Amino acid sequence: MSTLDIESATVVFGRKGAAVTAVDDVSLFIPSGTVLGLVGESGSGKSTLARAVAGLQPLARGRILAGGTDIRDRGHRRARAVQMVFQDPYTSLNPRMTVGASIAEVIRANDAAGPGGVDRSVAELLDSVRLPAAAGGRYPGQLSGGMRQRVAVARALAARPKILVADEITSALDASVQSAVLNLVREIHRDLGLTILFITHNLAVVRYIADATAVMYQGRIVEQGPSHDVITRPRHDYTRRLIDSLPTPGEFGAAAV
Amino acid sequence: MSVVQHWHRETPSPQHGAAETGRPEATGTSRRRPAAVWWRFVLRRAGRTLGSLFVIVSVAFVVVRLSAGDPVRQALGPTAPPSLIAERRAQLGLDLPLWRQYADYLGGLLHGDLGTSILTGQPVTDVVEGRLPKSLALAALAVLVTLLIAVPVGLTTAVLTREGRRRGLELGFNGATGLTTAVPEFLLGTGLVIAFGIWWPVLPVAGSDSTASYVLPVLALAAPSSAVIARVARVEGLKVLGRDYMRTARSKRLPTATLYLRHALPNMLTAVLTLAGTTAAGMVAATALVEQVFNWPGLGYALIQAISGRDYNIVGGIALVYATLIILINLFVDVLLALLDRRTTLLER
Amino acid sequence: MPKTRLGAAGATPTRLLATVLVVALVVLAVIGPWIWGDQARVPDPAHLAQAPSGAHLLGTDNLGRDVLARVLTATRRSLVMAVGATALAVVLGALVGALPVVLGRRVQRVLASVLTTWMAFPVLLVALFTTILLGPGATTAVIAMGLTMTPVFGRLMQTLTAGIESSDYLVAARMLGISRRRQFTRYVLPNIAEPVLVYITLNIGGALLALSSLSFLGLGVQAPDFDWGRMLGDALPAVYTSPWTTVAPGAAIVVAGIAFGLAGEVLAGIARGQDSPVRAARTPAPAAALGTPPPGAGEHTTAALLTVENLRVEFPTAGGWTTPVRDVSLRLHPGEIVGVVGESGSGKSVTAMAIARLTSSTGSVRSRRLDFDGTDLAALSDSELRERIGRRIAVVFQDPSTFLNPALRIGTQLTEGLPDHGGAPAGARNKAVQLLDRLRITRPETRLGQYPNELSGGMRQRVLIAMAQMAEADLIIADEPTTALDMTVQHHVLRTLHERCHEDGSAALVVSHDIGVLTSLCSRIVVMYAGRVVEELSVDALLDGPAHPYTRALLASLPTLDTEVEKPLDTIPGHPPHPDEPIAGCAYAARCTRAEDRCRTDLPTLTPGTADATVACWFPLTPRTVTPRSAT
Repeated sequence: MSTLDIESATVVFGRKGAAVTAVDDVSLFIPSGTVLGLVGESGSGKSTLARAVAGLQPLARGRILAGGTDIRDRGHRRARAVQMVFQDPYTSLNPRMTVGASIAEVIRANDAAGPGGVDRSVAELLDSVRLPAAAGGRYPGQLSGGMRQRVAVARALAARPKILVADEITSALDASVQSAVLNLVREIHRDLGLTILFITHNLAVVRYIADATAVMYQGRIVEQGPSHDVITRPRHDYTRRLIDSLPTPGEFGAAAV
Repeated sequence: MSVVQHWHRETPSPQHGAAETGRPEATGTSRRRPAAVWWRFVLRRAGRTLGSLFVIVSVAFVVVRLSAGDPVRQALGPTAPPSLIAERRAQLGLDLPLWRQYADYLGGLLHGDLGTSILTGQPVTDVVEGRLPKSLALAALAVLVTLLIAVPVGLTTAVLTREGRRRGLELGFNGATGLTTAVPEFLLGTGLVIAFGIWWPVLPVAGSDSTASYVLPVLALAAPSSAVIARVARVEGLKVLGRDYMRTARSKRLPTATLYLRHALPNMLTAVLTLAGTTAAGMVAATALVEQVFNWPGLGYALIQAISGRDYNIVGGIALVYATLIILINLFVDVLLALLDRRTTLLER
Repeated sequence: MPKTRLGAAGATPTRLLATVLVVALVVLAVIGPWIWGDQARVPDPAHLAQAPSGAHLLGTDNLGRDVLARVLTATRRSLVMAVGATALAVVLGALVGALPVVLGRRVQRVLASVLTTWMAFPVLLVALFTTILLGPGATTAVIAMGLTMTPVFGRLMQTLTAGIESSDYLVAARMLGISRRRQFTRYVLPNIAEPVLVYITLNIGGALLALSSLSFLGLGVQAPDFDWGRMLGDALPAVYTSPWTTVAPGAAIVVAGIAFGLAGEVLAGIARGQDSPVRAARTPAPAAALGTPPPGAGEHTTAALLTVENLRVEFPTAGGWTTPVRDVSLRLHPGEIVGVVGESGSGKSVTAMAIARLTSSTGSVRSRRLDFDGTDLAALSDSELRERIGRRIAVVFQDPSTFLNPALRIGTQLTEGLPDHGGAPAGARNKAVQLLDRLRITRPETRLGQYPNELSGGMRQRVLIAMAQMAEADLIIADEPTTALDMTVQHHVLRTLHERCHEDGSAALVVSHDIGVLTSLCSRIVVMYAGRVVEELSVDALLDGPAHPYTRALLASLPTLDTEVEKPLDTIPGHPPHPDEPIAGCAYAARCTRAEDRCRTDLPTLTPGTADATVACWFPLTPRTVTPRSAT
C-alpha cells in the first residue's frame, strides 16, 4: 500500500543557546505492508519521531515520505494517509462525545463513508476492532481502558490511513488486556495490509509484533535489522544492555529464607 | 556549574528527556548557571513592566484627550467667558498639535510632571504629594493586617480540615468567610460609620487626625480581603498537604511540628507570596472607596472629587500613580517569587 | 446503603439555600419594577426622611420615597448590570483566551501577550479610563466592569484550554482532519464549560458588588435612575440623620453577594463531584464481617515479622463506601522479599499503604490481625506509632519526582527523623554519604546539598531507597518502586534493593503490576484480584505453573522473548471489575474459562494446594500442565 521513508530526520526543540536535538539525523525505511518496531527508553526520541511521522512535529532537517510523497505536501495532508494511535486511551478520546460520534465525525471530515452511509461505517469499524455496535453510544468514561484503546484504533482507521503509527499503545493498559490489543494490531495489519510504525519500550512485544526492529538511543538509531536478529544477536552495546536488563526469574538469587 | 557537569555523567541524555516528555526534569535551563537564569528573568520581567507602563501612559494620554468634548469647556462650565477658556487652553498647551502635546506630556512625565488641574491650575503633583502618603499608609496597614490574620488562619484551617476531617469547622469557616466576602469594603465602612458614629462613639469615623482614626478604615479594608485570602490560603494549604512528598514525610513518622513547619510550610510560601501581591494591588484600589466613606484625605478622595468635577487631568494623573504603584507591586512580588523559587520551580519552567 | 449522586445531593441545605436565594432574586428582578416602580420613584413631600413605621417598613428617604419599594425595584437594574458585565467579560474572554487554541501558534502567542498586558491594567484604571471616555453612567459602568473582568476570564480559559491543547484528543482531532470550527465547538468548549460556568456564577456576585461600588462613588448609575450602590451613595451624606436609608440597600447587596457566592460553590461542588462525601463520611462504615481466618491463622509463629489476617479497607465516596481491599492475609519472615502482583483496582497498593498505616484518615481499615514483630499496629495511635515503630518500617514510593519534597535538600530528607538523630547528626550525614555511594550515585557529598530537581529520575529513586535504608528498617514496603523507571535503571534499582535486604537482613514487601519484576526479585508472590488474594506461591511454584486460572492466564498472555511469533497471544476476555461492583462468588468467574455455577455464587477461600502454594479457587489447575511458553 504505502512505504514509509524517513530521510535524515532531525527534530530540534528550543531556540538557539538552549536548543536540544531530540531526533538526530534518523533515517529509516519501512517497506509497504510491514511492521517496524522502534524500541528505546524514555528520552530516546522515539515518541518525538512518531509525532514527526504523524505530521505533528516539524522537522529541522530531513524529510519524511509516505508512499513517495512528502508528508508536508498539501495533497498528502488532505489525504491523511498517516494516522497515529496514542499511548493513553484515557486522554486521547474526547470525554464529551460518544465514541460513535467521535468516529462518525472523522468519517464525515474525510468523506470516508462506505456504501451503507456513516452509521453503517461506524458499526463496521467498531466491529473491526471487536467491539459491539452498541458501544458506539457510550462515552469514553463508560468504557474500560482496553475498550477505549480499541475505539482509538477504530477512529484512526476511520480516516482510511495507509500508514499507522502506534506509540506505546499497550503500556497504559492492564496486563490482562494487553495481549488482546496486540492481537488486534496483528489482525488489522493482516486484513488491511497497513504499514505500521510500532513504538514500544518492551522488547518482547516488539519481537512478537514487528518484522524489523530499530533501536533508538539519545536521538539516534543505533541498531536495526530483522527483529529476531536484533534480539538474539544484538550488535550494539546499548541493545545488549537493554536485553540484559530484562528481569529474569530468580535473577537476584532470592530464595526462600 | 558543578551540578550541571555530573548531571550529564549520570544520565546520558537529559536534554532528550526534556524534549520527549515535554515535561523537563531539570534540563535545558539548568545547564546554564541558576543565577544567570534568575537575572535574565528579572531583566525580562522589568522590561515587560516598562512596556506596560508605556502602554498605560499612552492610553491615559489618548483617553484624556479624547474625552467627550472640550475638557476646558466642560470643567469651567458653559458660562465661562471665551477669553478665559482660550487662556486656560494655551496655559495647558491644548492649542498645540496632538503629537507635540504627546511629546510634551511624555517629557513632563519623565520629569515627574503629571500635568495641571483644569479647574484650578494646580499641578497634579502637588495634589499627589500631600495625599499619597496618607493613602499608602492606609493600604500598607490593611495589607499587613490581612496577611497576619488571613494566612495563619487559612493554613491552620487547612491542617485541621485535611482529608475531610472536622466537617463542622470547614462548614463554619466557609460560612464565615463567604459571608464576609459578600460585604464590600464601602458597605462595611458605612456600617462602621453608623455603628461608631451614632451608637458607640469611641473611635473617630472621619478624617485622619489621630492614630485611632486608622482603626476603622483599616478594618473596613482588611476584613473582606482577609476572608478571600484565608479561603485561598486554605485551598493552597490543602493542596500542599495532599502532595505525595507529604506522604513520604509521614512515612518517616516525623513529629507533627516538623511535618508541617519543615515539610509543608516552605512549599506554601509561593502561594502565600502570590496572594500578598494580589492583596496589595487590590488594596491600593480599594482605598479609593474607603477614603470616600471615612472622609480620608487621601488620593482616592481627591480622585472622586476630580471625577465629579470632571477635572480629567487630575483623574488621569492620579490614575497613573495608582497604575504605577500596582505594576511595581506586581514586579516586586514576581522578582521575590523568582528569588525564592530559584532552586525549584524556576529552573523547571 | 448506596445512594445515587443526585439523590444524595438534592437535599443539601446549602443547595436549597442557594437555589431559593437566586430564584428569589430573579423573580424580584422580573416583577419588582412593575409592582413597586411607581412608589419607588414618586417623591412624597409629606413624608420626608421618615424613620421606619407601619406605612413605610424601612422608612423613607430625603425625598419621601419608600426605601423598601426602592430597594425591591432596584433589584432588576442591579442584577441586569451584573449579568451584562459578566456576559461581556465571558464573550471577550473566550475570544482572547479560548479561541486561539484552534487558530495556531502565532495567533496564540500574540493574544497571550495581549492578555498579559491587559491583566497588568489595574481594575480601577480601566474603570476610570472608560468613565473619562464615555462619561459616567450605567452603560459605562457595565462596559468598564466587563473590560475589567475580561482578562480574568481570558486567563481562566487560556489555562483551561492549555490543558486541552496538549491533550491527545485535540491533537488527534487535528490529525484526523476535524475542522477548526468543530474543534472549537465540540472539543474545546464542552471541555471547559463546567469550570467556566462555576466561575461565571461566582463572578456575577463579584460584579454586582463592584458595580454597586462604582455607583456608590458616582461613577455608575446616575440619578434619577438608581441601583443599590447608588442608593447607598445617596444615603451616606445623611447617615447621621437617617441611618435607616442605608440598611436596606446594604442588606440587598450582601444577600445578592451571598446568593451568587453560594450558587457558585454549589456548582463547583457538583462539578468536582465532591459535594456529597460530607454525607457519606457521616455514614458509619458498613460493618461487613471480616473474612474467614486464613490457613494457619492464630498460630503464633515466632518467626513471622509481619502477620496480616483478613485486612479490609474501605473509603467513603459520593455513593457510599468503596472497598478496594476486601480480604487480604499475608505473612513475612525476617529477610524475606515478598511480591504482591495485581492489575489496577486489585487493591495491591492500598494493601501496602494500610500495612504502613499511611491510608487517608477518612478510610476504615479493619483486620483480624495486623502484627509487626509482636506489636499490634492497628492498635497504635500516631504518637505511639512514632515511638514504638518509628522508622522500623520504611516505605519506598512509586514516583521519585513527586515523593521527594522539592523545597528540602536531599541531605535533610535523608537524615531527618532518625532514631539517634539528636545525638550525632554528623554520623547520619556520613552514613547518608556512604549509602549514596553504595547506590552508585556520583559525588554523594555534593548531592546532600542539592534539591531533588537537580537530580535525574533514576537518582531520585535511589535516594528514596537510600531513605528507607538510612533507618535500617526491619521491613521495607515498596510500592511500584521501578514503574517510573527505564529498563536499564530498573535493573540497577532492583539489584540495589535486593542487596540492601540481603546485607541488612531487612524484609521487603514489593508491590508491582509487573510479574516479571517480582519473579526476578522475590522468593514468594502474592497474586491479588479485585481486593482479594487469589493465590500465594513461591517463585518456583509459579514457574511450574500456578494453580489459579487467573495467574495462569496472566502469565500466558504476556509476550516473552520465547513467545511463538506465528500464533495469536493468549488473551483474557473482559476486564477487571470495578471495586464498587458487588460480586457474589469468585470475582474472576466472569472472565474464567473454567468457571462453573458454583464459582458465581460461592466465594472460594484460600486453601493450601501444593507444598508452597495456597489458592482460592474451586477448580484449581495442577502444576506442570502449563504450556512451555507461559513461563516468564
